[in-house]
Amino acid sequence: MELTETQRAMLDGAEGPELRLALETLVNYGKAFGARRLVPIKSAHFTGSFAISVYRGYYELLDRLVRAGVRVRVPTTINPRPGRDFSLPNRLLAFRRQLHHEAQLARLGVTPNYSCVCYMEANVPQFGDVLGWAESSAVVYANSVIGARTNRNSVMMDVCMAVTGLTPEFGLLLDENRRGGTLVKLDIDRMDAAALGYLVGRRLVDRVPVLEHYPFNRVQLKNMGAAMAAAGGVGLFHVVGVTPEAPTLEAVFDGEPAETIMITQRDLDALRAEPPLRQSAEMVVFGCPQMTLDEVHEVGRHFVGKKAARRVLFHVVPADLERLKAEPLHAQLLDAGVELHAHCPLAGLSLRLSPWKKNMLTPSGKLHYYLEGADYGTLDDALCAAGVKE
Amino acid sequence: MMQFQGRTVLSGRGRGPALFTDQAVNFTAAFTKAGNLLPWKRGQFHDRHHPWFGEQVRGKVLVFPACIGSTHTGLVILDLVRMEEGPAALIVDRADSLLVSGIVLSAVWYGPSITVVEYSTAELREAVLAGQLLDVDGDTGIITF
Repeated sequence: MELTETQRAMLDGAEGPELRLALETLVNYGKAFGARRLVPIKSAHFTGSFAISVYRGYYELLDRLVRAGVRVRVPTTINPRPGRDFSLPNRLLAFRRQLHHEAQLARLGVTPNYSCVCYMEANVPQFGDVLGWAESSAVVYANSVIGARTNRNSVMMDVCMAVTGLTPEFGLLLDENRRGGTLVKLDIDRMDAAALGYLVGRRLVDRVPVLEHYPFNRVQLKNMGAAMAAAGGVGLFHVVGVTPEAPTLEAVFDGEPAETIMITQRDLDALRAEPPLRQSAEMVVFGCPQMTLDEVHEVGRHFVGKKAARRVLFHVVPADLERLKAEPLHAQLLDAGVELHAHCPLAGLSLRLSPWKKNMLTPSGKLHYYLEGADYGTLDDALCAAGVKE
Repeated sequence: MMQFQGRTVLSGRGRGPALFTDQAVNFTAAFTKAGNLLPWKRGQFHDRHHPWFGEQVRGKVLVFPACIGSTHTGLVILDLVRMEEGPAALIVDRADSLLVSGIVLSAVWYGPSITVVEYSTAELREAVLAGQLLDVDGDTGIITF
């Protein structure tokens, strides 16, 4: 790999042993993929916001960086809190080091936005920006919807990038890997973007999907991409005429697609839990990735003047939850029995440490993948199960 | 004895019984469940969406097409590798950034590492039986059984 003089000095330890190791990590990471140089990043986003007590390595390394006085060199945001207030067992066992972890992140200089939806407000990239991001749902949104460039970086690799301000140039940073891989034709009457994302991820794994034109809004793009990156390893998708690198089919494929698949209404419907299962759900869970204010308005209006038939949880971007508090809808949702949270639903619910399995219904393709006992339903299914729609 | 010439992604050497799947692996979904809180179950696979559900991966050569899912993958792999409680070696069709990250982090900051070699996993599944001993030489890329 060709390094600049400054990079070479850092690798030789001129800026201390911690930065030497951080840079060595990036060099070895890049070498595995044939990267020829390290390039500067505009911003970073960290995924590792939970102090998960069974894991130690990541937290030890952060402690080491903080002890050495290392700080991030680019604007850096962070994923949601785990919801340590959710239950006593969580507070005592699974996330007991959470407060220490958050203090360490602050010492590193991380912006305390505590949201996976950083790209809407706290950390908004421009088209073409090179980023050192982690969080699969944020990576896929930044690449696909904004046209910025980041690989799917891991926990701690994101930290090494933020403290050096560099990332190895390979994968989705290069033009040739951003071209269309597979054309996805749609035969759908009732669009369900999260279910579509789940199926595309499952079928295409890590190829670059190009969806036929459909006028998805940004909430749909967020939820669809997150599902693709959970059920698959998709880091970039295109929608013809919607996303910036796919003005036309010809432009994104350099000609004809090599492969085409079709996703039908029947495929989407097959992902939905059967009606008896939907009605037996003890909880209806919204917001993975966290709901934006637009999304709270769209889903929340169904609850106004009604009472939820079972526990209903909204997980909202913290800054948007603060804004919601200034609106009448906030009180109306609480009156309807909706629980409003600013943490991560996956962390908040997965370590409930209860001996029995609870059934949940969710319109999030990502949560359905990760959370045991979370069955999938469309937005309408979820509203029906919540008892606010016929 | 049979040999296959793969492509080295991360060097090293590993030997162990083969565990095969034709499904991509989500390491975060597999190893961050309540069951993994028990130290002796740290290497047990807990993803219900995957045919490896319930399998112990420690000391095995994992043969799978690709790595999918969350960017917490490195958190999981870093600890499995640095505590030497993870797989002996990995063989994949296509190595991805997350899979490589956890191993590189362990190698640079702690020392322990495992090898990753790219080879057609469909072809290996045809030729090798599950549980057979595989030797993966990540310096040459040669897989032997």
